[in-house]
Amino acid sequence: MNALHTHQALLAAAERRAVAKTTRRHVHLSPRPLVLVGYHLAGDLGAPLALMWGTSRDEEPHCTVVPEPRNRSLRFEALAGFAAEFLAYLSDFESRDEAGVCLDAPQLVVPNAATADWLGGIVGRFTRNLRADGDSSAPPSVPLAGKYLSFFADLMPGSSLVLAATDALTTHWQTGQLPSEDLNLAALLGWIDPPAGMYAPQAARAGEASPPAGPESDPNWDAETLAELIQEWHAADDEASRSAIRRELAGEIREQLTPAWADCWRALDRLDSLPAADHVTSRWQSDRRSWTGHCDRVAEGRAYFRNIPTPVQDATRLRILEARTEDLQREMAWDDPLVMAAVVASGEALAGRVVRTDAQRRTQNGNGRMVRRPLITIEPALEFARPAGTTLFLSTNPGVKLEVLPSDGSGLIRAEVLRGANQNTTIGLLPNLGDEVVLSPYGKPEFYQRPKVEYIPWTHQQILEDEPEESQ
Amino acid sequence: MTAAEAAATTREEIWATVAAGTRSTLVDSPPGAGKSTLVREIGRRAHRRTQVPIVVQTNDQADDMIRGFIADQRRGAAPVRAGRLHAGDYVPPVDLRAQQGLAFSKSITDLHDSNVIVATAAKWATIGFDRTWPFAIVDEAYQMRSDALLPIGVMMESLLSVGDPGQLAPFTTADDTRFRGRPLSPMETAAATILTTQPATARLALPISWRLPSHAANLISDAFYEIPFTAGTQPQQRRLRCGVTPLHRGRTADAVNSATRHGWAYLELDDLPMPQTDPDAVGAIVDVVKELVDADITVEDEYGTRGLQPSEIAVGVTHRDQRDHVRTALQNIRTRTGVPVDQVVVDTANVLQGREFEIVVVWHPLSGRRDASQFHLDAGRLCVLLSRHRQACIVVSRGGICDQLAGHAPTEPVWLGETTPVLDGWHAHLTVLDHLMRNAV
Amino acid sequence: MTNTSGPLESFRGEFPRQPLNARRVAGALEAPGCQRRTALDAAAVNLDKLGSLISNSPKDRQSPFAITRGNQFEQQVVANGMAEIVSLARRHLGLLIPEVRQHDLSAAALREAYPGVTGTRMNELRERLTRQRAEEMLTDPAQAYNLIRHAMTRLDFGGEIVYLEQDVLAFAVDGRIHVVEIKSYPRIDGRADPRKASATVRQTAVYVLSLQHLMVEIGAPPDVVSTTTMIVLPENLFFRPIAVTIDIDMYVRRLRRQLASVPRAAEILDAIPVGTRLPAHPADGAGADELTAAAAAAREALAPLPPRFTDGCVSCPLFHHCRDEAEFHRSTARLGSAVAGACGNVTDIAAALALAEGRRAPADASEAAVAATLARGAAAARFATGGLT
Repeated sequence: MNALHTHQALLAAAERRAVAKTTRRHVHLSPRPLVLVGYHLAGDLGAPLALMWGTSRDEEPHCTVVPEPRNRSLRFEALAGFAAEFLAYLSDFESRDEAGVCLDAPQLVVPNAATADWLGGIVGRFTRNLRADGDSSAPPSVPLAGKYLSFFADLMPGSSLVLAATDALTTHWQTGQLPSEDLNLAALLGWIDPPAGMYAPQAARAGEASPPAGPESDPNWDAETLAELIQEWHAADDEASRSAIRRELAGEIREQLTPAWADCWRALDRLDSLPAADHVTSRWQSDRRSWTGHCDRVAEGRAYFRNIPTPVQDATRLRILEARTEDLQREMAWDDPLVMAAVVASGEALAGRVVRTDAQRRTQNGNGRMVRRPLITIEPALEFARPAGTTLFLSTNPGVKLEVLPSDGSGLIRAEVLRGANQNTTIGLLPNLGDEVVLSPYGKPEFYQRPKVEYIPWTHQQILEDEPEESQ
Repeated sequence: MTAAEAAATTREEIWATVAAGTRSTLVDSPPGAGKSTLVREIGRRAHRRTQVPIVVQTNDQADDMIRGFIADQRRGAAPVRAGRLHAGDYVPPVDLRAQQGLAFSKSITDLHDSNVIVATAAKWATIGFDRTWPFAIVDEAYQMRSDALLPIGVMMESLLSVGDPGQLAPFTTADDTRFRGRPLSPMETAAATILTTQPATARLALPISWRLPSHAANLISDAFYEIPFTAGTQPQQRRLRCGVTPLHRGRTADAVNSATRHGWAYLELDDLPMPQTDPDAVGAIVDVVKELVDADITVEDEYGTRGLQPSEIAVGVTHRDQRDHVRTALQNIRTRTGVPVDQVVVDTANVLQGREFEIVVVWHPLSGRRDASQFHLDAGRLCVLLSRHRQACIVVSRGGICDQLAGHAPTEPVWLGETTPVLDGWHAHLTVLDHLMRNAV
Repeated sequence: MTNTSGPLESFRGEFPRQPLNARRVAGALEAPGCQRRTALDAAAVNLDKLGSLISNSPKDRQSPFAITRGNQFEQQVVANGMAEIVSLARRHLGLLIPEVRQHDLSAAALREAYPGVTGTRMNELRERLTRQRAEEMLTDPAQAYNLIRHAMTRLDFGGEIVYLEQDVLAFAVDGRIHVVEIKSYPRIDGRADPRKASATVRQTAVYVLSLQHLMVEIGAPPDVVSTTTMIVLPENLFFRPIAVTIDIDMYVRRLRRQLASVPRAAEILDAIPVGTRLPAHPADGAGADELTAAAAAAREALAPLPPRFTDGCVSCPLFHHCRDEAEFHRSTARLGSAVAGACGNVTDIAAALALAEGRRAPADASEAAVAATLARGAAAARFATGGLT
């Protein structure tokens, strides 16, 4: 484990309060997010029990319940109610700018990754292909909502279209508990935002005792409360009793899910207390473009999703995933000195003070020509053991590329500028004497064309015994 | 059947399979089994019928393959016009620039009269496939990622894949969860993809390791390979003799003695948890290296007798910073004593893959850790580190490995539908440890 | 005749017992080397009851809906003379099971035929009957039962013989035994939850290993038990059963090694004070005072048993208790295996921080290395924030 994070975990445990891992906020916060919490019936991912959502913490959230989650028409009824409002929320984000890109994009906030995976990977996945005819008839709003939920399931690192509160919080804070305990939003907030007068461990325990944030409900509540209500539903013989049971269930659900609902807003508040990192805007712009593309596809009737991606789709996706993962890592380090500090702690980056500069230095390059290669000498703040020849970049100006020169035994690190600050126009980018600098392994990403694969070659075509049914 | 006969028989079988027009052939090649020789041999035979594209994974591998063709020719093999297809920023190495019968180009059309064309998979992917080749060879099929084969599968109508299944598999730093659990994942090896899509693939395995000495071949074969192999040499054919008796007694001297006598040595330091760049481990490794160089060792093998050169010794590590610390320490010894220990090759398993040395000193991947991790338990890494040597292998480690392995809960996720991994790193480590303890000094 | 040694029996005292099953054994191995857990497992203590008693938390039982759904799926799969299983086995294992002749060896099924037999004697009976049936299955396949449900086998755990409930289906066909698992988590678009699959595979390995031992006991070679298992799962969100086969040989081999490393329960108990014993579990409807007292007594009995707190402990019923204990002792293990590993032999959080800040002198090279590593982390943070941390 990274030395810095280890130290932070120990500090958090000793101080009995979460320790900041960042000085900036690395996720975009929408002025109008949709907070969404829900449960499905235990053991049955395809049987939603309840959904609760809203765009304002001050207003009571909307809630829909399925009094018998295994009943498909009740299920679709409830989903239709949710879908109508969900689509209404999303329709607020369709206006475009002059370039045709949506001015803003929606943001879904859920308590944890499991809820996000369930909403996208199950609810979205299995509603998007529903037909409006036949036995499994559902109003068209349901499959349409399913297509949007599927879009929200397909996101890349760095995207803020969906925020899972636990993930967003653990990116920015280090607790003094097990990583698996951090998956419990209430316990996690106990560390990050304990009530006045309480130490984090105590607050976390209290959080653990509160009803679960979903998508699975509390098994004890299932046994004691839900089972009884469902039984009553089956026994009810008129509309009046059924409505009463529905109301009672809705009341119980609200009680169970309100802590998760409130915790999502608390999480957003905590994140809002941090200043935004520089690259948050450009990543959100990318999100907006992605959202625009999806809206176009829906409008043109070509929002298709393959249940099982082809090797070509997967290969493309992997390539993009790798690029975005690296981009995010790089951008967070550039934007945030504390994130960069972890890289310094690992020995990959050099932090120190400039003790000498030679802007006019010239030396022979590999072809024998004399070239201008300014030299900076750095007194390292932490030991830096990477060998001569290591390539580094100025963290404040990653266009400036340097190479570490052989050690002269003095303990100081000498690095020559290969690119980005060796001309009169750019020499000003060279750090000054006395400056504190960080040289990191993160340079500007290189773009190179990857060939587009048109169709699947014989080496990647699988002949299956029987094609899986394209059923629900 | 002698080892040479067994190897030759297999080679002919492979050629016969390919020559019969078999659509897909996969050859497993254990360490030092003559994989590159095989690729060149098949290339030489096949080009009489058709130009043969050869797909490798890195530029270094491509250059080494070209060098191999030249060396074969010098030894009397039929001449071959080799073409080296490369990317825009590639500069041919000095030793290849002036060679006869070689052509270098960025463009495939320039190489139209080459018999074989060698290039990396990445370069092959850029050429556009208005023509295809009846037959192509893919080298390092177990190190190649499936998505690297995807853009080039179309260029070949039949395929010979060759690779070492026991070595480091391809990896990604991104979260690949999404791609697991289904066949034809972009993350799986090209070999695995071929086996899935071409169930009729002819599978053969080279039976002999020409590199590993007999006292290593059995261990490596048992611990890391599904299809067993044996050493190509008899025990008495490989020998190390110390020219200089060590002045001082001590564990370093014992390690060198054990290595020269038995081909193995395990030097165990105190069981103490230490960070990756454990200075005592660095010290012990560097002492062993110096002892090896000082001992003026003579190497005897099937090629004759000669003095051991420092560059024929390697130190294998897991992490780059371990490599840096060892290199720095060796450099200091050179500066202080003039002994050329800095000519010893020091590198990570990833870089040492594919290379061979007379003696290898291994920094055990689990040394100094308090608990094992999936990364450090990786079977491929351990296999690479332990299969680079022709004569002897000395493993240096902190104690406590046994406890680490016992205290580790191998509860890694299981993707139903993926083929069960053939190698179990945890198990391989235990097998290796048992063996090392028998050679402890 | 008892199957547990005297010290284990007296340690368990009157606390309810529960025979082990594969889930518990596999769970124990998720946190290997824990002497506390080993002693409890070897003594066949009812761990769920113990966990909820001392954690002050209501029984974290499985939701009745999950149980119902699991049962429904299983019933569907085994209905009509196991028609679905037979069909899946033919397709995925290439097995031809002509007609299923099953024998139910559960305690419930045997109670009528063997009235008055309970507890340990029932376990012994079931184990004896299992052995007889297994012999018959192999010597006379055409006549014998070819499926045993709820078999009972034995397993050496920590040097003690424990009884193992076989929840899996074991078919004998053509002289070999094939194990089939029915699970109710779904395979969605070709992929099943890998954590659940990992647990399933490790549990099945326990059954297979135990069956292999049984084979050896009745004089048959262990490889009579096939390591290719079939796991039956629902496809997507419906109850259509599909099957996946997996060769679990690697997991069986691992299990064998792991079981060999389990601490010896007898030695563990030798090291604790004589007379340490668990209390009786209060009856249903007991008052809060009684529960609190029992909980305290139980904690006291557990305290001398050395725990080994790691990331894998989350699945253990005692998790909350041992975690709180680790937190009380301010141990680095409480922060997880990654942090504990980075701190080497320094097991105290305050000591680790003191080393990092130079307030405490390292006792050896390892502590010096920990001090240097942590100090480095702290220094990097200070540099970044201009000394404001």
